[in-house]
Amino acid sequence: MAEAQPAPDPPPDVNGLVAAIQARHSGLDEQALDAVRRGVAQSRQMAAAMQAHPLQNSDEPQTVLRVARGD
Amino acid sequence: MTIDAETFARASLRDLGRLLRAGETSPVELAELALERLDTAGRQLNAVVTLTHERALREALAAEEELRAGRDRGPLHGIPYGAKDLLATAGIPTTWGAAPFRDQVFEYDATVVTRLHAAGAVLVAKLAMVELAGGMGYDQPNASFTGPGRSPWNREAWSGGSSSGSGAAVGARAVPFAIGSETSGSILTPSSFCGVTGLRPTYGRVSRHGAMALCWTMDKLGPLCRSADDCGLVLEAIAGHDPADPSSVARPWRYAPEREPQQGFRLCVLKGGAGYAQPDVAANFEAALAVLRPLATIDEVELEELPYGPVATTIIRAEASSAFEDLIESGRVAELTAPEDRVNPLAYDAVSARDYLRALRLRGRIARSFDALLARFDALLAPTTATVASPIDQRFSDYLRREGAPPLVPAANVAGLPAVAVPTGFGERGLPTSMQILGRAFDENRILAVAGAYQRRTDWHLRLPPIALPGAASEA
Repeated sequence: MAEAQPAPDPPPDVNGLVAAIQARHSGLDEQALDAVRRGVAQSRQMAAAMQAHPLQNSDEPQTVLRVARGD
Repeated sequence: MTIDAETFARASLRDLGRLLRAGETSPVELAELALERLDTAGRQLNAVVTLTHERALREALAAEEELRAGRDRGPLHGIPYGAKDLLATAGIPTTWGAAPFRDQVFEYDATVVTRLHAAGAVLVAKLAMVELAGGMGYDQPNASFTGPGRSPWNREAWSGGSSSGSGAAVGARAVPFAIGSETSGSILTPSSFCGVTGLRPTYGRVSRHGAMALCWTMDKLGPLCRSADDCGLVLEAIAGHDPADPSSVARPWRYAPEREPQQGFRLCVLKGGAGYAQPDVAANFEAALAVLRPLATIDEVELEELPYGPVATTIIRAEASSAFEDLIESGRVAELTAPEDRVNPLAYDAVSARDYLRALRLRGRIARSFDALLARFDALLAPTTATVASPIDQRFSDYLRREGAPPLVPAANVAGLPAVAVPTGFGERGLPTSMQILGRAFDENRILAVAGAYQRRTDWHLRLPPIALPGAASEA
């Protein structure tokens, strides 16, 4: 079984996302920024891999909700 | 009334129960043996966070009085056990394996701990774990404030994680059983690397109330034991609906391993074999199949092509970044042990709400696909891990990842399916190998039946590492 392969090139939004993270977390050195960049690129590649599988409008998210009623 | 260390190390839960009821040992004696073994062997393996002497003695004395009075709570009555240190225990530190939480104390017991107490089991230790159950993306064994978990078979090898202490303590035979947790591999991997039998129950089978949340929609609690039979006995004690955990299911469960069917088990393996695994792992897997072949049909199947790994990782990153938002945003994440754990979670912000929901929607597709595949079979078999335990000083990315390995662990965890890992022999550096037996949702009895049939015909699960019997030679 072969899993769908992630896109080979980092998606274009990586640098913007890294800049946003850098702005929120001051004091990241180059090594830390590299790690963040790799993590962001991986997340975007995974998103692309998931987008390669079409979903129907009726495909609901698998979550659990405990409905509350306080009486 | 006394049993020796070797009897304690070798006994199954049923054996210990017989010895207790025959008056040949006592809950206090078993608790003291376990505490001594954890304090020596357990500490050598970095498996222990806290020994719970006071509580252990109190629970053991109560069990002793009850058994003497003929009040029998069942097969775990008077049996010592250890709990992964993400389970809340009243008045005892619950550290989550992470330096920022090393002084954390809850005022209540997790439901699993409460249920084990009701079954008469005796809590002797909080066991070590990878910090925050590995949710920050660790890439090497030194990722806990208690030090890297070490395999009982070779202290220079990793114990596996994130239930590292649970695997190592059971593997070293310091406790008859332990409770671990799995979000994506954290029971099966240490079971494989420590040579023990571990059961990942169906999602919702066991209440998560009082357990550290890493990923609400994927976290599961289960036992690590000396045999499949022991796993069944422990699961029966901890399974069941809990109003405090909305994801727990209202399906009562009794351990009743199905007899070996006359027409044989219907098993399947993934097409393409186990050639992606280390040669010893693959050879031992083939040998395990040969043991089962007279009892079963074994067909080849293929998983549907779906993005199993991306779905699992996206869900875990999104939920972990919320579960630990305070830690990350406060900057205290920098106090974690593994350097990569201090930085990786910052990048989790790159998972959008839409990505997360897409992953949750694809998860339904994955669950239905798996169920359709497994409906024709009793179980799917595969090596639990593609390699033996990695060297203690090596990065996982350099050793554990194998080209072509099927993403069974993320896939089955996304689908919430049960699996049991059983030892199958030994590989390089004298380290154990393992096979996973994966079943349909809520089919724990069926996979335990397959595991039990295998273990009745093999003795890999009975082999002891030298650390279990000081002064004795390895039985590898």
